[in-house]
Amino acid sequence: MKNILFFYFFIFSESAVAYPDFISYGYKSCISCHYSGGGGGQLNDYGRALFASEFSATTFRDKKPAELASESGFLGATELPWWIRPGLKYRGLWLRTNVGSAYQKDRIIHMQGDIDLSLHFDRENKLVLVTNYGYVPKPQGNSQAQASQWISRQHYLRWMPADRWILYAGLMDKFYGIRHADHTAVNRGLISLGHSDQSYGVAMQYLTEKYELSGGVFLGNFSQEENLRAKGISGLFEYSLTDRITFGTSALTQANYYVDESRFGLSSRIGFGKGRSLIAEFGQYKNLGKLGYVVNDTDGYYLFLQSLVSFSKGYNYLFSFQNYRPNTAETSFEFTKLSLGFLFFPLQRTEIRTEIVNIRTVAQQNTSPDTWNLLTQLHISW
Amino acid sequence: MVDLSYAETNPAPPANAMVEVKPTPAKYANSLKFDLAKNPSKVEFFIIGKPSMLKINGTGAKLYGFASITENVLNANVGVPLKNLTTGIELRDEHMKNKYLDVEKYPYAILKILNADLGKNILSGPGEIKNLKTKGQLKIRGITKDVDIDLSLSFNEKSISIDATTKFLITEFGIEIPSYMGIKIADEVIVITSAQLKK
Repeated sequence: MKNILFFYFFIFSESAVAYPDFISYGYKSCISCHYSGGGGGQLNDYGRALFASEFSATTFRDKKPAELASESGFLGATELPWWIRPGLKYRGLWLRTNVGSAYQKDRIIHMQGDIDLSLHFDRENKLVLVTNYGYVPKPQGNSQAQASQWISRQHYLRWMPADRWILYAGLMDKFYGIRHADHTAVNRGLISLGHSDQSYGVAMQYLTEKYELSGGVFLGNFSQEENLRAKGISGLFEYSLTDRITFGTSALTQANYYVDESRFGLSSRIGFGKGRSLIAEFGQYKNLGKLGYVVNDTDGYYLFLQSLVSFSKGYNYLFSFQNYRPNTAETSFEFTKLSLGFLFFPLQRTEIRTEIVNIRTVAQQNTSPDTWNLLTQLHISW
Repeated sequence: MVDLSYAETNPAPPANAMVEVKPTPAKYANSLKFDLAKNPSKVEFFIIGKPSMLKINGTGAKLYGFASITENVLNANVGVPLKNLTTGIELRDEHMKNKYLDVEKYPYAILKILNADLGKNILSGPGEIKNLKTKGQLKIRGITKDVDIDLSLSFNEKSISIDATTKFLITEFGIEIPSYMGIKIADEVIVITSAQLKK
């Protein structure tokens, strides 16, 4: 069972599309491009325009940046009323697991289908209602898991009462660590910050040129049973050494009927030239079961490294290294995932990610052979 | 005397229109003049985009024109070709140059420093001056305004390094505050110019 869960964690990369890597373009704060200052979720108008004009390739188009940006709206160049911004997202995966072994298997998985809708209450977008309704696929390899379903992952009010201040209230992601496109990575899904781990609560952000302070109090997801709702607090402080180098620290503590969880992380994002970046997060995570069973106690660490290197506009090499150990005891196993591949934005609204992935589990008594997988994702963001 | 009219009056591309530096007359034996086109220099600016506190850094331009130093007095008349500035984002550059700076009509920003007292004879030996406050005249989009300049110099037998920093409000030069799809730029801009002048 444990291996099946690892398989799920480390193979599938669900995404809400956040690219902290774009610090290499000078964009160190998520609020530039997303409605959420924590990143992920629906792109705002500026994010759409930037995606179309700066991050997407021009291989198949011969248009000027301003023209591409003006066509980046939901209806292309046709402007919607200022108060409404819809969006659609789809992410599908072609996956070949256990490449070269007798267990090799191919499959296609529809990982994400989201309908986004944001309503602006003023022309300067100071008060915005952000909503989402999305498809949750049935977890792979877990026959007992709930069938695929549709849920709202986000519905919150965002208010900017003054320069530098942003307040949030509603169902949203928690502020912790580096949010990036792979929500099943060790610094996201493994530590209960995955694609569907949002919570009702209130949060704030304070932004300056030198640092960003974010934090919130949350009460759990009311669509879950009472016993499962994790209540707690989380926060993130990120200091900017330059406009392309940041260092951050995060903390989270939460509890439900079954488990107390705490996380502490250190992170950094470095842009070294336009389109070349390295992001890193190292953290400690503890899960302490309250009932003596159901949850295995853990007191381990995780490490996430990712580098995105552009070799032409819209075309990037993608490298990531992930490692975690659920316990520091010598008997604990250690899990490592290494992936190399490409991340392409060949057209406006389109992302293609293709990777070769090596997975290794090392345990004192039971070390399994390396696993190799191939995957290609298609992401349409309309 | 040094020709201080170049940058303002010459509309042609600077590289093709440099005025030859004339030999220093004997009566100005203790003065040096510099053709900035022939010396390394750079110009950059910083401006903040809200609400994300996005730090926009414009680079890529160098200084043209002339500077003269007579013992403890600095004069300069320099032009910055604005079309050479870039912020690293194509769309933003397009807006900056065409919509806000209108570089076709106003190709240069021009800065004049007239008779700035450096407080010491910088031609006499090695040394440095830190954060000297002086005044200058800045012309952007055809509008001239007085600006405060923070000067730092270091000098030796071979060269003089000058860093000049100025802050001003873009609206004072008739530039509308740039705003694009929810990102609004702050009014205040910081401009830093640096030059390495070979004696």
